[in-house]
Amino acid sequence: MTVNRLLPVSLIAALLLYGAAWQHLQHERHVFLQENYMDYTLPSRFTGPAAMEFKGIVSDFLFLKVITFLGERIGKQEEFNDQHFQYLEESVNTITDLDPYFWDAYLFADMIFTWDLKEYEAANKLLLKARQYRTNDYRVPYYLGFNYFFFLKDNINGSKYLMEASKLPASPYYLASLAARLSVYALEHRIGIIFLKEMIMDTENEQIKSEFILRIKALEIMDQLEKKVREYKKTYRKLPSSLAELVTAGLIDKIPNDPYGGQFIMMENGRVYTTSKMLRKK
Amino acid sequence: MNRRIWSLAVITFKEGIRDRTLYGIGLFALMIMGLSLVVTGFFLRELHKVTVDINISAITFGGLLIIFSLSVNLMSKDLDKRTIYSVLSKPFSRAQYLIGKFIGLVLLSLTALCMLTLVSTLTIWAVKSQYPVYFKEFVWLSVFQAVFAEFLMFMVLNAVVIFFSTVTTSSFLTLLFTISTYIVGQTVEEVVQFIQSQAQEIQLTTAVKTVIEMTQYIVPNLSVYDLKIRAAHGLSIPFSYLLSITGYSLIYSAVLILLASIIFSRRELT
Amino acid sequence: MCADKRHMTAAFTGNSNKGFMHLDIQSVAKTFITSFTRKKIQAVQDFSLSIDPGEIFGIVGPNGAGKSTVLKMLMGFIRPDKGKISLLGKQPGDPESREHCGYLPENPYFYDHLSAFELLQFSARASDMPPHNINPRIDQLLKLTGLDSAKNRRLRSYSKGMIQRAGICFALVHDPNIVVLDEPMSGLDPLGQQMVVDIILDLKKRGKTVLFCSHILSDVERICDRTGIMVHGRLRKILQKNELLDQGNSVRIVADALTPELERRCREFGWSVLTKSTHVTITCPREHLSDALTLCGEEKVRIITVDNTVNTLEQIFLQTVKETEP
Repeated sequence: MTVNRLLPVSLIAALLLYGAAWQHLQHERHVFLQENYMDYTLPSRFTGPAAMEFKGIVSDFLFLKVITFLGERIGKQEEFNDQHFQYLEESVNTITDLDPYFWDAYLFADMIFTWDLKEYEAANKLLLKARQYRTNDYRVPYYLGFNYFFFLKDNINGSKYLMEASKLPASPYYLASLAARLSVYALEHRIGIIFLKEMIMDTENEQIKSEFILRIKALEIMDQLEKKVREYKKTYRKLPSSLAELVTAGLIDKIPNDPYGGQFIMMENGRVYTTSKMLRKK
Repeated sequence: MNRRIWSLAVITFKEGIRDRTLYGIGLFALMIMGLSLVVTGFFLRELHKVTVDINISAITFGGLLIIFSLSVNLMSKDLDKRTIYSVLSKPFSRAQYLIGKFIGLVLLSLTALCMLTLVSTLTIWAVKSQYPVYFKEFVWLSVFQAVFAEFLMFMVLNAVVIFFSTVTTSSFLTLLFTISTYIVGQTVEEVVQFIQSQAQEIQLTTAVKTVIEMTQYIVPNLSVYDLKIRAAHGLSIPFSYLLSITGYSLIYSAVLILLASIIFSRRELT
Repeated sequence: MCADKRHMTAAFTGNSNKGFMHLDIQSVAKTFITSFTRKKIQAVQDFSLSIDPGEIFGIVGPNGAGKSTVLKMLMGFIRPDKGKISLLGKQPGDPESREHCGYLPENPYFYDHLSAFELLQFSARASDMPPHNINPRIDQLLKLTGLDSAKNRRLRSYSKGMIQRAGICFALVHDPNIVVLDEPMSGLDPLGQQMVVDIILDLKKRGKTVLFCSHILSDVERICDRTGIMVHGRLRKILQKNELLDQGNSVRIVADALTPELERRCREFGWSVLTKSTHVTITCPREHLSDALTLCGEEKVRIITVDNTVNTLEQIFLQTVKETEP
């Protein structure tokens, strides 16, 4: 009799204890993860053979881990540092070794490398790896070209890759002319504006979109200023000594503000740039 | 085909297909495929890749489980429980017995594979109609080519099961050797490539090198059957390649069954 | 090999033509080596036996005497170390030797998930039976063995006796000329045992050869044309049916004790005496019954029962086993 009654009572007590222990562990684990947690991915020389014939699904799993881990940090507006860079570089190398055709992984890493980490070389290196495998995909050289143009301000290489992209199947119709103009008017802001407007249509990420809009805004101002400089030159048959002379000549009301927070300046050849170099101030 | 061998293949197949383990494995594979309906939503663009990855992996995993549990069991139970006495009291030679068993096991794997493929076809189709935009690169033919390659691998592994069950006396050892063969077969190509590419950096004794070199001729190279990644990205597989792996599988299985027949003919069934 | 046994074997093999012999075993020996201790076990030694068509031969012997080993060598599961075996003129290594042969293993076990019907279909097809004969033959056998109502149930749900019946059907489906049965009665109820006896007698009637081993001596005695007693891997005695019938003329007296005088007198008369812990069994010819009873009376031994048992095989069996004991 007593045993029969003792067992359910013990079970209830044990379950209560289990609940308490579980809660405590949750708390401790949370603190532990907050304090010193950095995820890691084993290099592909181990992961590759270990995944055997399940490389595809393992690459999916690793990629899902990467996007949740970094996505959580983006959501929390955390600053990315070297550790994040290392983690992402290692992970994406492993993932794209397991499945060298995995475009999602290339693109995700490319975005984080360029926009968040400013590691343009790493981004381009990765895209060049993608280019070896995804030989028929115009998006690979397209993004390469974009990186050169937008981040590295290297229009020569930018146009080279855009040209390559334009020759691949399913590439947008405007790429060829864009590439051509980018190389001819290598330094014209107008081309950049067209390029960025096309990019906005392809972008879903609101943050990147606003980044593009800001860049377009700056480029449009500079384009406008250069137009005024050319007008000045037509009238006075010489270049203005500075942008301030445009105001004096009555061509503009005042020197506009740089949306990036820098100052617009005119070079000796009449080109207009900004001291911010179109980089957001931290 | 010899009517006698076929009759043995049929009862082997029936005995396997009615085993409850099969339903457990089927259910497990279905769960993974169901998971693909949910998980693909987490990814960005290449949903077709993730869906195909998960589905073909589930098919493969289910097929492997069938070999490691059912095929091993169907072979070793004959010896353990002495069902073989009844079978061999019929006019079977030992080789005919092994061939009949092998055909039964391959039929079992094939049927299971067809069922799983049918279900995963429906799963992929469901995801595809949910996110048609992200399935532009998707090609059905590649998926079926990859599944066909998996079938060839299952055939080779069934031959491996037959071989080891004639060599060993316990189902556990057969299982152990079969799984080892699978793992080595899956990795040997990568290991050999790695060693060749890093020849200067890693100092290996010639003995170790020879062993690894020999391994790649003895153990079946199972990496050749892994077309999942190409299928996931909708890349087609040349017909000549498929022909080549088919030939390789048939010849490798035949050699194994022959060896097994020689060993088994000498074995005493006490 | 002792001289008288060679003579005995010759007597059974000599009078038949060689090619006509259904089943022929010539001085076969088999030694097993235990895998762990490497100890040698002589399972069968110098075993010779020939069986004619239409003959029923029973092998009896204590557990571990090597009966099953002999049958397994016949079926080609085990190779003999020495000697020759032929089934219908073919060696066991040749699959064709089993074409007209049916075998029931000891404690048969079949595939769990097959029905009896499917199992028998396999047996028939594997023996190359003409397809149109298969189903009627299976139904006939299942009816005969009383499995008719369970024929579509999976074998895993069968009781031991039902499995045994299915095993008998398995051995007989293709109407083999030689039937080899290892313990056909085991696991069967009395009705089942009678059924097996009937089946074996029917086989004999149709000219088939039956070789079986069994523990149930009364049945062996009843149905066998010849009975071999096997002890320690050797065939010690072969008894003709008429020999057993002669012995069947004897009477058995069961008494509660044995005096030395009584034992001496029994020996004198050549009566067999078997002492057990609770009683003594004296077996003597029927015409000696009154003498024996008088003798028991003189020795003041209480007589428990007197019967004219036909269980003479048991007597011979026990005696043979006793003789071979070191």
